[in-house]
Amino acid sequence: MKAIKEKRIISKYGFKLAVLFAIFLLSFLLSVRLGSVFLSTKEFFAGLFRLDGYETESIIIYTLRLPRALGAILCGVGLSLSGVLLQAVTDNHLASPNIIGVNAGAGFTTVIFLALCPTLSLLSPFIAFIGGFLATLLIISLSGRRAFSKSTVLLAGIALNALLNAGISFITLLDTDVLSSYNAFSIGGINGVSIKNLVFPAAIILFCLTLCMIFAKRIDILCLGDAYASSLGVNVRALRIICIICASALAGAVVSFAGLIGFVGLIVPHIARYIVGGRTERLLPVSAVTGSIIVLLGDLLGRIIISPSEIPVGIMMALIGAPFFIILLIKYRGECR
Amino acid sequence: MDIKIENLRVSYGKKTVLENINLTIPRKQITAIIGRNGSGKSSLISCFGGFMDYEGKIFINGSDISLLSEKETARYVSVMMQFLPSPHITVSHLVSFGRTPYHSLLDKLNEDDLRIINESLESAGIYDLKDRYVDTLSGGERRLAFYAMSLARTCPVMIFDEATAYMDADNEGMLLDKLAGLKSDGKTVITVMHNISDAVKYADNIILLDKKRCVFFDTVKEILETDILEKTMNVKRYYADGRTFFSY
Repeated sequence: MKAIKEKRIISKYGFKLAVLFAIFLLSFLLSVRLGSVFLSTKEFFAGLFRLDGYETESIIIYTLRLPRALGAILCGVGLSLSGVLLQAVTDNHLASPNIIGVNAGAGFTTVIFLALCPTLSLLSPFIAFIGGFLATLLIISLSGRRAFSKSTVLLAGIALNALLNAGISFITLLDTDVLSSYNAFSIGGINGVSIKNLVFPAAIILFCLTLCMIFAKRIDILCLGDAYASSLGVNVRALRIICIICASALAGAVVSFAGLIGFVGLIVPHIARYIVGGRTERLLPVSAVTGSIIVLLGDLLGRIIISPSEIPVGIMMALIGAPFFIILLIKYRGECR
Repeated sequence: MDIKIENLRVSYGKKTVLENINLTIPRKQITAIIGRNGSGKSSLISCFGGFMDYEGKIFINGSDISLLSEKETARYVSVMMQFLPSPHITVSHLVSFGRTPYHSLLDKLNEDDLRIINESLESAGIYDLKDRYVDTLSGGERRLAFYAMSLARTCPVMIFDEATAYMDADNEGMLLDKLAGLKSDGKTVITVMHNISDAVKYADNIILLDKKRCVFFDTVKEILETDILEKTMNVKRYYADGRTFFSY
């Protein structure tokens, strides 16, 4: 009886994952198929299989839409996993890459770089990546060597965010030329992304996902608090540092090609938790797929709503994410810890 | 598995909460730690669990626990805290955490683990609650769930910080009977107790802490032959139904 029940629970999870994966595939196909240039079914498949006479369609699919869809997937996976990790290590469902200062760190170094080396703006994604990492390292040191508790990480993140945002405002006041370059970066978008830009972030995201799956069971134990986790033989401090470095690497990888996209890391873990519960080894894959779907559809909507113009995915995510998050807060009032 | 404490000193910053503690706690017995609020009971418990810095040495079965890895310590000693978290996980998932010290990162629960988890749930009397979420349980049920997790750890030394806190009288008596049963299973039990009457009923030995120090450590029989409890804890002794009681 027990074995049957266990099997049923596993297959229920498998079924949910399969449904999500089907929605993901559909979103991916729609993202590649739809856009400001309308492709009929025949043109789409002819372009996809590079048939003669459909070179333009092939270029649209392989040069513009496919990299963009892959970028959206990486964006969704990276930010969602980052959110799951941060919410687990801080035991706070309001934690996200924005909160621990990855975005502000990335933004701050980018603004400084644009002010000092305006001709090298192509390098700004990598500078952003470094900034995100440095911000995380600073938070770890601000959180203290011994008292590496869940609240100190959040508080340090909030303090650092305020400081870095003040720095960004100050620099953009001094150098108004920086403001325009920084605006596009701060809104966040995956327009014009190429496969070449995605290889390095994809490798980081894949590595971090693998690492997180290995540590998933230990990450679960963090919900008992530091003392209990420690008494169960978990090296809490090392685990927290691994998770926070992974979270910043994941978010930094996304920032490096998509700029500062908010809300994904905040809302996707909530949706995933609602679908499969709080077990990390299930939450990670479900968050990755759900995050991909949301960014793919958000980007697609941004492309087609005011076609041929478009709304950057960063704005779409804020438009979708903010109301959704308010609904979540109202619905789960008292449960969101 | 004796526990030996040598020159233990615990401080929070500049404030010393325990000093000059020297004890040898006998194996396979129940030892109660009692003392006024702020006497250092919970700090002493935290040292055993290895999650508090201290000066001095604590040996378990001859091994200095400060030299053991977290995992090794976790296999020797289980600690159940006074304040329990309310995670959004099922009771059986919580109890399965008790098997963590015996597994590496990629290991899955094996047949033995599942058997131990089920036995722990049954021993704690909460098998029927195994699929409930911990954050939906009452305070007493939650305490039993964490007690089951302690059992699932199969440690020779089991430590409890006010195991019966927030429990009603019936559940309190039931859990204390279960703790007494652990002794017959060969476990060394160390527990902080608030109720002195229960301490002298269930424990074999008493550690009395006062003003950062251990002012008495001996068997219950010995402590009852002195008036140190009355003087230190400001309690009155009386007898009823063949038992010794203390009231404030």
